[in-house]
Amino acid sequence: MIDEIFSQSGNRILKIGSNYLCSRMDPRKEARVWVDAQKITGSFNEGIIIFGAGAGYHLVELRRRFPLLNWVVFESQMRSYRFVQQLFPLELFEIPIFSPDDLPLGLSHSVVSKILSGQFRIIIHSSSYQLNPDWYDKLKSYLLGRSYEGLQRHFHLRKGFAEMKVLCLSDNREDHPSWKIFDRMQTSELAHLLDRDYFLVKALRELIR
Amino acid sequence: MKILVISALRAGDVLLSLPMLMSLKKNIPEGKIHLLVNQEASGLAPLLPFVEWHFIERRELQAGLGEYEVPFFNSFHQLGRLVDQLNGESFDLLINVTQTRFSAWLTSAIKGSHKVGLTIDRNNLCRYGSPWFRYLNDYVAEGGQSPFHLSDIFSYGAGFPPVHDFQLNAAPEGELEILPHLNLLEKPTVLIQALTSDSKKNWDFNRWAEALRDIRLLNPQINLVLLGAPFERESLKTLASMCEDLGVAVSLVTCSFSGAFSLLKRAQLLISGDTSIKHLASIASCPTIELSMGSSHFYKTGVYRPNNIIVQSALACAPCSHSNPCRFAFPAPDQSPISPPCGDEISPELVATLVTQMLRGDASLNLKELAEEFRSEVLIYQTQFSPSGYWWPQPLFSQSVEEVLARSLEKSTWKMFLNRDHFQLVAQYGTEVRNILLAVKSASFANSTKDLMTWLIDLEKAEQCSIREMESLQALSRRLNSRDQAKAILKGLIAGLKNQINQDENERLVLSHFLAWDSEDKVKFEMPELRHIQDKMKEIKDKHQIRLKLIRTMQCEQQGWI
Repeated sequence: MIDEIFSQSGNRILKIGSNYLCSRMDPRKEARVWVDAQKITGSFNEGIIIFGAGAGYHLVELRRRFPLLNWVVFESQMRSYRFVQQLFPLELFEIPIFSPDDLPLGLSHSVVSKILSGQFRIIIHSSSYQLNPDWYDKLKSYLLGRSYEGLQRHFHLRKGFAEMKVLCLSDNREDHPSWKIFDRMQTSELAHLLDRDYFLVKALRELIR
Repeated sequence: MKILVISALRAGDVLLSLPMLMSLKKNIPEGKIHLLVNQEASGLAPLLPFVEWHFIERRELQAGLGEYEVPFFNSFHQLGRLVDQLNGESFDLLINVTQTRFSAWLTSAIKGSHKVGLTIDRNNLCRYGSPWFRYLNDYVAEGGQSPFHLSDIFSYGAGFPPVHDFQLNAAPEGELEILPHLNLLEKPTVLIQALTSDSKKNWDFNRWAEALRDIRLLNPQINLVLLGAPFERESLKTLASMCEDLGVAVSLVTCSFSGAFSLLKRAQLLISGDTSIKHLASIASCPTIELSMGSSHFYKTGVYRPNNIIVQSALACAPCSHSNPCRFAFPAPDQSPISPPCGDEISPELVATLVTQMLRGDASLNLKELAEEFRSEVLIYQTQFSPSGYWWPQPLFSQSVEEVLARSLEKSTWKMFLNRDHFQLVAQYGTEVRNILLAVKSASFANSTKDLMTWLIDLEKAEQCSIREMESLQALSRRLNSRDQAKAILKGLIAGLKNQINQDENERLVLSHFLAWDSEDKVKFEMPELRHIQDKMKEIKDKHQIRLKLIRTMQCEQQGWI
């Protein structure tokens, strides 16, 4: 059951089943606290992926505080997705928000590619996450490069790595790839790496021996 | 000129590179020195304001590599940003003083016109940029006997003799930190750094408590202060209460490196295990008694100032390997750790007596008596700089002239070899021999078995034999290029080297290579490896030749011809 109701502060909010997607008291205040807690620096090389559009207040606050931030949103609930689009058409204009319906499009989106090719982090909006944790977990594994398919995508986005093939180290495809995969690679595969990247890979591999 | 020094281990290792940093500062006054260290060593930054610091977030990098919740490439980007930032500095010289593969790859990733210290290229070949760093890798890391001090190796490796006498100012934050403890320093103060980073290097708390009781009995006028890092506070409280049980009042101060340095500047003495604090003490010119236990290898990392005392167990296993647990320390029935036997050899009374002698000032004569008295349990050394310029722990127990001469001869040979003095048109053999003889004069002697000249003649003969033997082994090794009769040639080389093994420490390393080949029944030799061994054999022969020239110069000196 989905309800659109008003908070005590007079803001429109969303309830899916028994879960409120934001504060019943003051969602804007809650959004400010949420953004503070994420310790976002807003630096040009910081990419952010948000899991959960919720009722959209935290996204609006994020945009207000960091207008130049490179970020993208994934939302598993179509109702929440539509609610946010309708409530904040201007505030969230051109912010890429993807639902399960347009996931393939989302994963290949240029903003997602740009974020994945640099240093980034995933921030979870707990109320949204609890509504479909399995969907988010699978997506997270892919986006972090902690699944074989996800890691291959990460390789494709990086110069010199694109030629490498991510081989599963065990029979169990559920295992997560680790930095040990570089040990299995042929010299010819690593040869495509620039000197800097080659030495960085070698140095980092030493840190987990 | 911009110089980047990479020291990617602990704070103590960073401090070991300080004589080199001071030498760079002295010899390249226009140079700008940058230091790349692990974040854990950042506490040293206030003490070295003349250096520009960069930090490796090692723990964060490791977490990023292994933790599922962190993007696979995050650590790659994080380290990449650091490398890009350093490359933006356009360094003229990179000096890697860390002998690890991580630091070697990292140094390879950073651009620099000239690099010294371990780097690895894309063909997996190690490069050193200086014979001294090669010595560090091939000889010191392989467990070579009586190696040079790491501070000396770093300095000579960077191309300059180390600076022995330098002062650092206390940092303002350190001075502020010790303000509440200044009342402690109104009386003569002995600082005690009881904990080290490795339990094998720790002296048992019961022994510490007994030693502090004896020190207090012998020196009622002094303050005893337990020193430690904030995270050591709880452990040190246990020691303080053990002291109280014995009726000894001790104070406890936990502080940062800057605070510790300010305290050391004011203290009369430090008693310490193998810690970074002992290196700080040497910089603060605070006299130190170092209790060297477990894997603490004082030849490499002893207190780098003259006239300090090092005590080490006389047990044959000391110092032991860094990575393995003590073979003889079994857990007690209640599973509490038991201190290794090398610590048990050091008696609390001895430490208390040493402290008393040190507090009385120059008491080397009495210290020699003590060293003789306790010779069967511990070996006591006094640190000094040899006339040749390197750091040296001078045994306070008596030795024969031959022992002292042989040791000085070996060191001088290494130094001339590593500085490539023998390639000079006129090498300084005469100067070096005078330095050796000066070193001999400062040692204490047991009765000599034969006269010096006879001994030198015997040595000369042995060196001549070794050179001939080495030449024939070199000729034999060249035939290993072909597979024909490889097995027989290998056997001949092994037998030849076994005969030679006591003549030069490096021979042990070459022999181990051959033995590995022999045990694996290899008849196919990898060319780079073979070339490496042939280079090593040439090095051994060069060293024999330097040693021979030094011996002959010494003979001339003895006969009054120089």
